[in-house]
Amino acid sequence: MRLNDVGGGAPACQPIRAGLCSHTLSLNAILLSEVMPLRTYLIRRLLLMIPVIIGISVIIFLLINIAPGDPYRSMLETAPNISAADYENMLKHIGYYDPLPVKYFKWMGQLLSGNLGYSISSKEPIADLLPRRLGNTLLLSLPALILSTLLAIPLGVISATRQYSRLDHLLSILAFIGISIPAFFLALLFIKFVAFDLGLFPIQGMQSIASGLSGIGLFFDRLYHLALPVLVLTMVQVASRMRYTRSAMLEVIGQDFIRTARAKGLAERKVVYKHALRNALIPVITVLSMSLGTILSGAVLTETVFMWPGMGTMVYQAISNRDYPVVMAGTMVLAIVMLFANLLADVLYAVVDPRIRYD
Amino acid sequence: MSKRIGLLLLASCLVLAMVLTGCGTSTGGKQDNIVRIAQWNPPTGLFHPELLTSDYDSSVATLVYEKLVDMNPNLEYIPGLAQEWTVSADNRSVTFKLQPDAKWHDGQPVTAEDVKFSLMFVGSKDYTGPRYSNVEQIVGMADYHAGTSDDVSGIEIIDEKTVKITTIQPYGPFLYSIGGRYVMPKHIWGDVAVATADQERELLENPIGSGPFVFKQFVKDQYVELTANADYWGGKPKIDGIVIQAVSQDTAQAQLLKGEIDIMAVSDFNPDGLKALTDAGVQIKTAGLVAVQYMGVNHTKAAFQNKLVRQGLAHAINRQSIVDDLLYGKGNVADNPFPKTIWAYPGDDQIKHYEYSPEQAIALFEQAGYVYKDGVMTKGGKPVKWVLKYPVGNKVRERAAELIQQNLHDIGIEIELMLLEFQALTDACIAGDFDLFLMGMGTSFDADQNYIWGPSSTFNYSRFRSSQGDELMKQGVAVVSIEDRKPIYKEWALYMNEQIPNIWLYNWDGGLAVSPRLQNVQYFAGGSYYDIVNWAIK
Repeated sequence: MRLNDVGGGAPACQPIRAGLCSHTLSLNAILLSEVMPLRTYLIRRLLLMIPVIIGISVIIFLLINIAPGDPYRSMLETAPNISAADYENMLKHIGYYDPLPVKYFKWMGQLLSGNLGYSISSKEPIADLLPRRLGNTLLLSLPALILSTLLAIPLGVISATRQYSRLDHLLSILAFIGISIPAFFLALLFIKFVAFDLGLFPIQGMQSIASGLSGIGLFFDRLYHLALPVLVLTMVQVASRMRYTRSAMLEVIGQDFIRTARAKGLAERKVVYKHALRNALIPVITVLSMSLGTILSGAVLTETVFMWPGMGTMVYQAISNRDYPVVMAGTMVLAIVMLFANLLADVLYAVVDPRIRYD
Repeated sequence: MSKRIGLLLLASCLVLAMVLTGCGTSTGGKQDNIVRIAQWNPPTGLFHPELLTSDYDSSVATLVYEKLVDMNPNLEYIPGLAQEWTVSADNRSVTFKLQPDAKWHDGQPVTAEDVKFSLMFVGSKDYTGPRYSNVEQIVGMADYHAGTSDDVSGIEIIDEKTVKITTIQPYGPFLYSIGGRYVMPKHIWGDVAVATADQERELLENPIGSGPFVFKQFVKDQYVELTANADYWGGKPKIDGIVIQAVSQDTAQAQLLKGEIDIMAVSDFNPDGLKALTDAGVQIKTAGLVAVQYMGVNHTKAAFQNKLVRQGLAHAINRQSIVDDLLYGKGNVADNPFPKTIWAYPGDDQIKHYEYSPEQAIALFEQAGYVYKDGVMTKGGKPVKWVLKYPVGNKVRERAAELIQQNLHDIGIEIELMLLEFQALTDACIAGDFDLFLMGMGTSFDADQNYIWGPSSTFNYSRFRSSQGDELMKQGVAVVSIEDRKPIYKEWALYMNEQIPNIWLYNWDGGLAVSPRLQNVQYFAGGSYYDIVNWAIK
């Protein structure tokens, strides 16, 4: 899990020439070295995922299980009426004393039979807990993704077409502020000024407590609670996506075919939006689809500050309670989503750019 | 092109709509009669007081369910579901008479059958919770727990509202361990298999108890709503309801000031940090916790076997300054095994206080055969050097370690500080691999400390053994009445106070911040719900 909120688009790899991602490039270079049909390519990639997922599961399992401490330690410190014998029994009951390999294969066996296990603190089946939390996170991060993309692309284009203008400088400064300020801090600033001082939005939570609202009332109540966290996530994401769009646009605008388009007398709008933007969007789309993977994990701190009951707060709370099964299931899901997002990015890259073909 | 503008328009409409609805439902101070309690994690839904392991669930379960015997802020036993109890002459049996008007929230009466059922639930061989040791002293419970018998002869139902419980031998912590058990409704849980009780989500998430508040709603991952029980045997609560909700620690203070929450926990009493709250009239309630921070000494090393050395250490460390400067006065220096809050504490005038005095410390060390010369403490010609291990995490304790190093340097003892991860320190303590260490622990509300100092304890990291202490602790658990136990534990506390097997450092306070509008909240180590029926909103 990523503990630092990155606005979805934070580069997992640096854009190099023409906005191509070095990571994408290398994977494609391996797999596309010989020309193959899309189907074969997909099958190969999916098969390749199996060892990767197994590797991830081993790493996640080890990281979590060799960390010191146990789920009932805090009980022992705060509630001394738990006797040492009872405490040992509880740990035995959850299989705490099993040797690591036994624990791992028990866990894998469970996973393969479709059982995600039970939370230690609530005893709730994780298969019930996880989808609920996933839904809440999507509710928060999808609007932020859409809003930030809709804002970032036009702003990036404007910034690029008026390079070194005052507007460009202003946008650049704002972008750097957006990239440098950690999301949780931005969230606290908004809470302080907008929610606390002005009282425009609720300080935290997902709905008004014990309001008895339903239907359309509940819908607007949800929107009202969504506003601030979505705004924070959007601002952080706009900043980095705007920079991507700007650099991709600048790259394209300097090329010969744009000069040709201008030379044949096309209106500047048409040159920019029809010819330049289309080409500039290719790397942007790749970056965007890769950031789909961070939709679930990109809002951990924003979620915890706003006490939004999503995946982020779930994993965060599970870590602080040493609820191992929940942490493992949560991080596993995040990792798998990330893998598929990478695959999607590679495929989309070829789809939007007809120069790259699988057959 | 136009599509894009359309989308942008849509987006801005959405934002506008959010802003407008935001202005519509303003969140001012709440004017209703409901108390909102903040906690740092949401309740998880395991609302069964004998199965739960998380404080975030017990905050809910302890309002819905009740114990036989409760505690007041002086940590004295008061009636819970048991209206009264009588201890038999041989100290082995206690007869509980239940509250005549006690009813479950579904209208059924609370009976002696429920009590027996609840104790047997905890005693069952399939029980998955952590509280079996509380009931194992009951006659016949061990066999039942082993699965070799179907009944527990030590629990006798005298009549519908009276139950007599007998232990194998006189059991000092009776009222705490057995009296402190929660009573569950047999007509609801009776048919549930004990082994899978923790998976009965429907029953767990909709608890039916007998307490002052009736469970209303659990919104998963967010909050629990309770309403006042109009039929409560102790009288209908004055407030209409309680909401227990998850709140981010970063924003809790702001929410309290805005009136969105009424109660939250406070653990840092830095007056600068609390100023915004106290200026707004927020009540800060503090009380000593039943817990102690101490410096353990290794009794397997010759130096620390000498009582004079341990007493010298106690005098050498400026513990008062830890309390004053690091805890902002919210705590007290500890000189004996009992926190001041529990009934077994012999009283300030009885306990010998090891005041901060480097001179006295040096004198005691010299008496023990050490030589203090030119600012260096030596024994047999060698300068004294010890290693102090302490765990990461507790800021006050981390700073206390540095203070101890400085204080001991002042009497010529060199201390090497070694900061360890908590588990690593525990391992070192279990292995006996230390000179000195810092640690904290919650101690029992009952006076019995066999679990620390007794022959079979696993927490006696210091390895202090004393037959005199064992004998007194044995006497202390052989009688049930508090009045009979007091003199025994006084003798034990004074003995330990003189022996000072650990260098106790301090007991510290916990606290609550309570909204100005809420009255009659009393906080104590046993919880924050005492006398909740009398909580009232101005």
